Amino acid sequence: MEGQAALDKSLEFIRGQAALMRKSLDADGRLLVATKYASTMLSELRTQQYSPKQYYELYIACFDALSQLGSYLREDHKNHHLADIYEIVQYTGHVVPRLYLMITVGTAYMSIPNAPVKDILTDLLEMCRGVQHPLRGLFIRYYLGQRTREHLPSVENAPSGKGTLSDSIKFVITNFIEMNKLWVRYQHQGHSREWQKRLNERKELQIIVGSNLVRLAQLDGITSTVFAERILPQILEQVVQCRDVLAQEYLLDVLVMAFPAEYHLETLEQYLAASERLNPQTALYKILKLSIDRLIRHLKDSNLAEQFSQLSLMENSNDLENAEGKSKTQTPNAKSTSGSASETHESKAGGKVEPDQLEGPDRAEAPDQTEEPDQTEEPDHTEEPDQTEELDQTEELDQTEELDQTEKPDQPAKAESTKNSSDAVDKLQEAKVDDEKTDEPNGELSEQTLTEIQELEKLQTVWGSVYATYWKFIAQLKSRLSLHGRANIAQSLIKLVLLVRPNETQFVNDLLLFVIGENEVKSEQATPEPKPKEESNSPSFAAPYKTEQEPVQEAIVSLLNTLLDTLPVFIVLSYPHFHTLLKSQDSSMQQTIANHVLKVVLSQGATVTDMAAANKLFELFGLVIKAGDTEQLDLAELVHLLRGSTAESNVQLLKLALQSFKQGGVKVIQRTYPSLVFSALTVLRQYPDSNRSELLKFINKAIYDLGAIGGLAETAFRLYVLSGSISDQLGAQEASYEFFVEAFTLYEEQISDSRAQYQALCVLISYLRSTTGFSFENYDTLASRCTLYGQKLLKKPDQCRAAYLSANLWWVPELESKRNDTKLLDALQRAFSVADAYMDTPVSIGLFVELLDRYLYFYDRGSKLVTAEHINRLIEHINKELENNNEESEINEPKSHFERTLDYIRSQVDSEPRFSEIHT
Amino acid sequence: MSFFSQAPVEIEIKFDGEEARQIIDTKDKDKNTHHLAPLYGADETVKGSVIIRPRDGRKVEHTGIKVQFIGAIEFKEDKSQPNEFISWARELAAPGEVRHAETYTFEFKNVEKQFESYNGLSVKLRYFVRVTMFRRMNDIVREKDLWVYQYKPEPEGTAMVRMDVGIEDCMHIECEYSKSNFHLKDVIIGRIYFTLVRLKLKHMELSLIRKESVGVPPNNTSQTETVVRFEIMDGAPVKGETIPIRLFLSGFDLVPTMRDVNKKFSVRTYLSFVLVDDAGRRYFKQREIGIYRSSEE
Repeated sequence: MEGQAALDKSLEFIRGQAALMRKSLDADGRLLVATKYASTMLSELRTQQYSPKQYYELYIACFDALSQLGSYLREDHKNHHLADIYEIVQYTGHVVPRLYLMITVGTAYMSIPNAPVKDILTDLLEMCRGVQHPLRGLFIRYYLGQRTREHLPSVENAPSGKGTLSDSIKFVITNFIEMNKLWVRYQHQGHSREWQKRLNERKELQIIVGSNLVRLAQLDGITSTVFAERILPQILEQVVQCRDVLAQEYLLDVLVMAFPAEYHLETLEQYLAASERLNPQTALYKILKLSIDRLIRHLKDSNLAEQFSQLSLMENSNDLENAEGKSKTQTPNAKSTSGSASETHESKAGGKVEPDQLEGPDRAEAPDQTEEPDQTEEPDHTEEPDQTEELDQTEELDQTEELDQTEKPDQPAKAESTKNSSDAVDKLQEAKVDDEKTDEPNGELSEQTLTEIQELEKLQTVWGSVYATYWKFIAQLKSRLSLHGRANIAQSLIKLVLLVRPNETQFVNDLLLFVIGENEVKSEQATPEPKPKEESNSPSFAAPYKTEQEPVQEAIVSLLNTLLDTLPVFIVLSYPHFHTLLKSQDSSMQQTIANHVLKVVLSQGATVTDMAAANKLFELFGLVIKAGDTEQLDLAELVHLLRGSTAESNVQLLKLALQSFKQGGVKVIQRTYPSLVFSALTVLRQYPDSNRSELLKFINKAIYDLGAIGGLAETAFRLYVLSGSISDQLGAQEASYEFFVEAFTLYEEQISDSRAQYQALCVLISYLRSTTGFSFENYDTLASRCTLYGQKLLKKPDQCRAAYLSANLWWVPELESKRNDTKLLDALQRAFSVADAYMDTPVSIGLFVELLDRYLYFYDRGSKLVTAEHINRLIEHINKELENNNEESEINEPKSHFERTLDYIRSQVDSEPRFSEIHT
Repeated sequence: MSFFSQAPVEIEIKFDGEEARQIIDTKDKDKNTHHLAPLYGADETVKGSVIIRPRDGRKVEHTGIKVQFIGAIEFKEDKSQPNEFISWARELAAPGEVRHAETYTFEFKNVEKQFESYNGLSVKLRYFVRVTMFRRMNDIVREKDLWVYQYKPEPEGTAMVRMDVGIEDCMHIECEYSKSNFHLKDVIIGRIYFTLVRLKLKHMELSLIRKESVGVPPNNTSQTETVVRFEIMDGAPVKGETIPIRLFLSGFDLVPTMRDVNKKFSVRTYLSFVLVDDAGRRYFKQREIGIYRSSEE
């Protein structure tokens, strides 16, 4: 690169001159010669050809050399009066080297006691005007700022010429203003086709302009008053006046970051008033977001957020105290309104912590008159009735659920947050205990705690008003904010509000409305179908200055996600405007959000307890379900979060879910219906006394659909069997019979694969056998059916096994009513004959051995018709078969099985005399 | 007039208290030679001694020895007619012979030196003492210069100077500086307002230009010389900018303004504002400034 070669040459030159300069200083202290070299070195900074980055390299090289000159000057000032040197360097013919030298000498002079600091500052500032070239001017002034930094006076009063804090402020601000002008001017020099290049170069330079603001913030003695009266107005004025988009966005960013949040809090009005006057092309939302985010960070960093959330906790416990006389349902309501931060805390630890708090000295002994006003001031009691109702239900079930599901994977995260907040509460209590330990009388003590609380409340009011200020402002300037901008601001504001007043979730709805904008709301009502690009017909988007396509959707998605992440999901869903906003997005976006909601619901483990919430939820998920691209397993998991407080409500919820899932087509049905069935069965167990028929009908319908629409005949079959078995356990014989019948029907109609048939039959037999409530006729019908199916199996081994399994149906040891020895023996013998008829001898031997086990089982359990003779004959038969087929390797397995069985018989002889009748 | 002429005598001129005096060093611009001369006040008595030593101990005959104090204006072009505006003479010795080194004293009491010494491009204003030993064949002459400063009080009416300079619809600046007369160690302080900038400026300089004119109009000739070039601005200002001017004068080789010295020549200094644009074109505006030697220096 040519530029690089030139740069290297320049750097080499600078280093050469710097070395000569040092030599003159070190060897014989020839200061004037040294300054000559310095001046020659600095003339390299007059160059035109370099980019800002390259120029910065030159600058750094010179800076180092000048530092050495500066420290020599300071040490040697007794020999050379610095005022003289200051004059001498002014003979330098070129303005750039002259100024670098003047600054070097001048700042060295400033470090000497009794130097006329103020005069030097004023002079340097004035002389720097000689450099009007943007790049060189910026660096000269940056150098000025860097060199003077340590010598800026910070006293309030000083003899004239020495300088005060005011002078320092004035100095830095003036330098800042001049630098900003140069910086902005940089943009406007040269060809317009290189506009973008210059813009990028300016971005490289921005930090040296911003450094002034940082320096200002670092001055000793800056207070919020000084900031508000002497700093901010001037800076804002300059930012507004320069009309440059980059400068406005960057400088306000630095301003907001450099100074403490408390200052910004007090000067918010000023800031907002200025942002109204910015260049229309400057992204107003960024400017607002900057300051909001700054305040949010402050809240988080300073623990204020935590304290506020504790405060609202305490308010809630006040509620609790006051509500004691009132109806019991009020209490969880109050708790649940404490919002996101305390939500998890409440749900688990809340139950334990709050009673403690009630016992705390401040609560118990606090004078009533101070507490009462707090109560009336709290605006969060005016919530919509339906919302609170929904909430308290959520809350109740939340708690029970947490107890049940202690092993849920999301527990650790929750436990941690719980730990944090309960830690905080613990600390609070510790503090109280500490207070108590001091010998002061109790009354005084609680007053002290109370004043702390009151102060905190005052602070909260201040922060609350911040929100109001922003709100008022953005409401006025709505037309200047694009949808994207509004979404961004709303996102930040929501975070802010919830940190200050976790309870006041009502604001959120207002904000959502603000994001949507009245125009959209109106058109939404007129034409309910979502419009693909509604930006085009809203006046706020017609603004001419919209230059680049804003990622509107990202902003909205991010906003909605923030909501979901900070607030309990059902509070979010209860905002009507959440849905409006969601519907304004295209369907893929809606799906994304809905998916996120789903995840959040699952991760929060928030149970759905009433129809209103469930309706909203399923309305939202409708899209996901229809699109069918979600994780169906998530939906299935969702089913388990549906928990009504009564059997009735549960049925309603499940029905709703069924309706929704039905829209999703085969896949969704396949994945979710089993969950529905299981969930319904759980409800069935949970409310044994309620009206079951509806539930049973529901189950029946769900299973039917699963088989018919979902095509999962086997699953449906199993569910039928399971439902039948459970109904039987609950004493609903008719329903149970029906379920089994349905299962049989399915078996006959749908299950055709021989393997599947055999397996289905096994399931059927085992469940049927364990039923207890059937009448003899019903059982007989079903059992006979089973036996029949066994005979109709395709393969002989299956037939054989089905036969000996079905033997179990006829002879249940535990149950007198199910002991039919004849049919048992029939079944066993049929099994034997099937095995005997089978051509493949090794398999047939295996079947014999299996059959032997069955015989032994029934013999052991005392069946009258299964005798030792049967067994002996079978053993003999097996022995014979084994001998005949001794050479075949396949018989090894049945053979060893057989030997194990014989060993078993022998081992049983001692304990069970009947076994001695068997000849092994 | 070499020291080491092959003249049979060596003449040395010594001023009283020369060692204690300030020595002024001037340089001939064309020959690059230095001249050192002790400094005298305008009305100061010039006193000294002349030592004459014969070479090789031979006796030297002469027809008289004279010492003169001369103030003269010399022109480079025309050396034939030195313009002596002062000439005083003293007889040091009657005709006779010099055998041994002899010392003669001289004194020109309160001689009025009305002009300041000057060594310019084409003209010199000199004060010197000349010793002449008259002989039959060729006179032996020896000269020694002294330097004279004229201290002046600050001229009256030195108010702030303002001037508007501009090229129509292109460039308009207002220059302003503290006064119109400066002493030699003064500082020019001022500022420049840019009221219209349509040129692409690269930088701006201040120059101090010395103009030396010889002769009486219309037959006069003049030569200029840039004494100082001083950049006061780098880069292009925008409308409304103000640039400070500060130029220390003491470091430069300036001379006081001389107007029609003995009706022979003038030396004037001009302050020049030079704007240089992108293409290297120079736009300038000159204005004479008065320079005087202040006794307060």
